Amino acid sequence: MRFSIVKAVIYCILFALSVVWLFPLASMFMVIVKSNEEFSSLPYWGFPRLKSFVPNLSHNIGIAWKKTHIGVFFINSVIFATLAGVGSAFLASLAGYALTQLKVKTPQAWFIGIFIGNVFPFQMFLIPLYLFLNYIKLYDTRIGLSLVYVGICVPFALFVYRNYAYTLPGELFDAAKVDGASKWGSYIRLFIPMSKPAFLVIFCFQFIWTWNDLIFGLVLSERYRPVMTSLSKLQGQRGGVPPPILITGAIIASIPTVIILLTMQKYFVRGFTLTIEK
Amino acid sequence: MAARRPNRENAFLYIVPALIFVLIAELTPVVYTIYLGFMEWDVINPPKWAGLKNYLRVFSTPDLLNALKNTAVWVGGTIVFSVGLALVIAVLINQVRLKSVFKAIFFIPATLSPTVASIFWSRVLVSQKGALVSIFELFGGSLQPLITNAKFNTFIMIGIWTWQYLGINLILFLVGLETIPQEPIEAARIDGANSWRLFYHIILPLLQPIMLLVVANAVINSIRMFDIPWVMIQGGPGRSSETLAVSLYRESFLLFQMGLGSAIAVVISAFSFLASYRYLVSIGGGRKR
Repeated sequence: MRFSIVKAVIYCILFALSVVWLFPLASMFMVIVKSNEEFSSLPYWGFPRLKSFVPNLSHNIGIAWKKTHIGVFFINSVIFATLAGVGSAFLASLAGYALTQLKVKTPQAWFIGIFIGNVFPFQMFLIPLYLFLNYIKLYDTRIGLSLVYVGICVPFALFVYRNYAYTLPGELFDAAKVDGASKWGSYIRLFIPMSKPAFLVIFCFQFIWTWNDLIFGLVLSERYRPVMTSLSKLQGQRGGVPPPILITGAIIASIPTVIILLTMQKYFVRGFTLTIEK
Repeated sequence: MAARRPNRENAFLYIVPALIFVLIAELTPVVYTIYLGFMEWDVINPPKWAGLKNYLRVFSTPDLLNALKNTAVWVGGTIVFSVGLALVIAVLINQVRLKSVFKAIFFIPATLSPTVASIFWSRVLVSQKGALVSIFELFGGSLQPLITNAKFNTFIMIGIWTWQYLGINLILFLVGLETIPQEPIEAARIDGANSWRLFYHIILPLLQPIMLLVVANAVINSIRMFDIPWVMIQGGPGRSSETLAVSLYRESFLLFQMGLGSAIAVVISAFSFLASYRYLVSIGGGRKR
């Protein structure tokens, strides 16, 4: 009897907290199905006519995508985040391969030399990167920001590859060498296919980080902004963008990370737990 | 012997690209930021040596002392709410069915970015004509826009961060709870330990590695907190809700005090190091082969 009362209390607590967690999402819905006029005339929790839900929503999407240029910034972010995910994984896979399977002198020292970049907060890089990109005329360019994002993502990517590469059977690489495979050949035919899980962890982690980044975009771009930075600018202009448009834009900007986290959550969580695996 | 040398050079070439990127994007900037921290520089005139003046300013200017205080509040608040509440929820979820449903509900906001979460909350929930205000009015009450109140808006933002980030901590705790060995728990239960003693003396110590990860992560994230105070209210009203990271941005890129900004960056790094020292040692050493 006591047991079931405890259970009931636990359920009640969890349901109450669930309501708190879902309430903001429900209130989003109330905004994006209204037109600007309905948003200002109707009470917050007042529904517009059911028929106008879909037309309002699609109208809001259209305005957010084109008029506020969320579309352009969205594409910028697709470029930045994809390059950061794939590019850092590629660079780190080369280095991780060399550190674990090839005979490089003092691999531990090289590892720490690269990984230490991950130890500093991003704030340590901002001012010099701003000055440097201005100096080499890459400030406010897609190339400049892409290079920065890739560079920032490399240390953690190397950490993942190195940890993963230790689990690969070294005999396989030795055997390939005996069979006359070149270093590049082993990398392409053995290392890359076998380290696919490491790639997925890195891609998932770094794509999401880059996609969600606000500060680098704020400091290093004006016109070629990533999507989060552009949203923060729209939010900053008080009264400039009506809530239905802004919220719709924010939801559009969340679609990629929502999809990745719903389909690849396992790899994302691995990115965290990897650091405490021994 | 002659045949081995090109091999070794060859191997080193694989590290070079990663090294170049890290040198340019991170290592050189770190050195340069430390250097700038000792300079006074407004970008237009040449930098002047300032010694420790910038650091003295960080610890004496009222606005920056306030940012230090806010950052400390963020760290404390995050540990209590984002970590503590996540642990409680994880333990509760572990007791019930519908585990995956609850897990999903708490994880949904974590799929959004802090920027998006801030926009949702500032525009929809705590603004003049927002969802929360409307509900209060429905019951005849009234609710001032909480976010413009300098006394407690940092706490509101910690609440928003908890809403957004708790799901990630929760999932990590659930992974931890799933992977701890069951034998000690069973043994303690047979010995008649009550739930609280079981949790405190058996489960919590077994969770230690995950705990270390989650706490270090939470502390590092809040020491560097920028997105939420900036997007919600730009560190305002005035400069009342600025964190160190927001102050850094304002001093460097709006007021062009590059020296002071760099000094703040060094202070943020120092705090990060102190807070995550144990964690860094545990991962920096990596795995011994």
